[in-house]
Amino acid sequence: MKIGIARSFEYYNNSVLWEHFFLSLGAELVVSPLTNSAILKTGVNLSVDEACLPHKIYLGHIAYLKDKCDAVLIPRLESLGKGKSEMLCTKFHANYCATKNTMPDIPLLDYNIDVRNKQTEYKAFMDVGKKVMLFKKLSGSNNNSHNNNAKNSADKKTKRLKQKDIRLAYKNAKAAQQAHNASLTKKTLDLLSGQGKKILIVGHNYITYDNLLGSPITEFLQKNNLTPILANALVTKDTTAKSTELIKTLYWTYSKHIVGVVAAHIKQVDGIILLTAFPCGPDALVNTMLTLKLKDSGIPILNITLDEHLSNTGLLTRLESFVDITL
Amino acid sequence: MKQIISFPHMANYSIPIKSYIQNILPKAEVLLPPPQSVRALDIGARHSPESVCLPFKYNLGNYIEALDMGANFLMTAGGGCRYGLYGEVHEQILRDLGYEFTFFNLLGDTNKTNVIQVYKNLKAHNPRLSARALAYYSLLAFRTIQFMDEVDVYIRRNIGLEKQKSDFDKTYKQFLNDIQNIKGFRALKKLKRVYTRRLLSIPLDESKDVIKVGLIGELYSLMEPFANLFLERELAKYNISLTRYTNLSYLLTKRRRHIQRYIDGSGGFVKYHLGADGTKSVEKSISMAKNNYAGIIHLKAFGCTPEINAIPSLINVSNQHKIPIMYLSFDTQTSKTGLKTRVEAFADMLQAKQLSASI
Repeated sequence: MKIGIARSFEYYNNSVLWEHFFLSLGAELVVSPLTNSAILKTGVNLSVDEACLPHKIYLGHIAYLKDKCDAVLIPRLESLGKGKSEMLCTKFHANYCATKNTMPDIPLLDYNIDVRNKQTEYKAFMDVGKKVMLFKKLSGSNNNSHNNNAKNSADKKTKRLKQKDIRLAYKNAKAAQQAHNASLTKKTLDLLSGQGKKILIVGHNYITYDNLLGSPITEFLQKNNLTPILANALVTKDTTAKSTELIKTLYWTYSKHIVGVVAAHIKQVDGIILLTAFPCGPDALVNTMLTLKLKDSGIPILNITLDEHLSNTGLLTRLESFVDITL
Repeated sequence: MKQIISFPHMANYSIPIKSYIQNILPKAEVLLPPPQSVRALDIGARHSPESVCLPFKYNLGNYIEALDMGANFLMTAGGGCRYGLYGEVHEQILRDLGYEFTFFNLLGDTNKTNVIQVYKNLKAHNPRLSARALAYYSLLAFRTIQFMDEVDVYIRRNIGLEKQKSDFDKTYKQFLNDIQNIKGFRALKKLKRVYTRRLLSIPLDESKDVIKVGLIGELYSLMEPFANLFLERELAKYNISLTRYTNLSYLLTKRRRHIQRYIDGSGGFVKYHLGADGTKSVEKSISMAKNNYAGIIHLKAFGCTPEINAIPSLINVSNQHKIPIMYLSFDTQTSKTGLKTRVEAFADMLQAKQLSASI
């Protein structure tokens, strides 16, 4: 089975997990390329005009994967923890339905994480693993449809085995993802304690890591001898717990992650760039709060809102003057 | 210092909420902000983040106007979508502007809330408040709001048919006036009897061809007539009988419990809940199509994510069930003239469609 993966949204949280999980179940992966202007253009044409920029890019990636794979993987996320304080933006609630209704002819492979309603990540992956196995079985039986009888008796035995396989695959994949995250955090912490002026880039990882959105900014900073530090790379349990120091009633998990990093590492950086995309719902409130709370900290803050017109000239002028302030 | 309590407007619900607060916090004075106005929106928008949704801007405008009039105790009740974080950001912005006040979030400073917590929060401000009194007045306020909504539903359905213009408007004005003085369940019962009779006795022109139109979408744009530029009044001019399901009684009771029901009723267009009222919009659009509605109008504040999520599904519903849907998005720049033109064209289209169907 060929599974299509969009290089957007959840890819930046789960790339290692997905790779290990699906490869060990015997599936192939097709990952869409780095975001380029063609993908953006396709996405913009497919989207509702008021949808947020990352979602437009997401649809562009999925449209790219059409006919290149058997199914496109779409995770649907509602809450990543118990209680009311671990919600995600409603964009993630509707990822599956919005895509399905926009492009009904693309087959989708979905899983649903909603911990508040007892649908954990483990359950979700068991679910999606079974679907992959079923697909394999169906496509396998198509090839030799005549000698099925012998297979049926062995089915019950293999069924139990398969469940075990999926569980093991998930466990290993999760461990690999955690190791990957830990090494990334360590590398970034080294950068943070190193020499030179450091700029903390605060934004959702599907914005800061994106080739079209965040990368030009990190590259510009590097060219000017500044060290860009991506807030997403520093997220740990300890930092996330600190988000309440800045915003008490925050309940979007991904926003909590990056706000926590700001709270934990603010003393170690020389400047902050708040990077968001138009019109991001959570960021509109969160970035306002950060700007107001950090007003007296003496650290220069640059607010950048990206939209689909992506004029680099205006952006570069603002970045240049920001660099002048921080140097 | 005497507490002067204020809270933002939301349609006419400020009336029962005002008496509710007066009942549970008798020592304080309740001061309503001036009626919703362009000025409130202007002030609110000036101090708000640019891409936040419209209700935030209206609420902030209401707060600032109330503070300027002398309020020193602001109330909010958070919860759901972006609304849960409104309170804290409002407070921060207002403090930054130099206002001094007590900010009271009914649901507390954390996200972990329940009824007991709300009672404790209130008790901190009125030590003599008994649980029994809180329950009594909460129920009274709830029943009053329910009756207001029932009256609203009846008027919305029939105002396009009234024989004598502004019959309903006059009655409704008196109704709002009378509802302020409700002190207990007996008075409420009497009010119900009087106004049910009065509303039913308003003559309707049955000979007119009615066009049934449904309103769906985001709650604030639907419920606050000022935010949707008095869309319902505009529609009433075209013999249109309106239905909308979103009102405060729905938000207080059914909203959370009915999610699964809405997903089941969404004809396969929604597999997972879309967040806030998105799923409901899809479900209602299908049930309206099945009940021979002529058209649907979808309202939202600019940038409302759950409703944007619902739009791809709504487009498919519209195609499959052959029901026209008009999408309206409201922000600070929306002009009344533009809205009028669109409403007129939509109503013309529906009338023409009905005419061609009857021939």
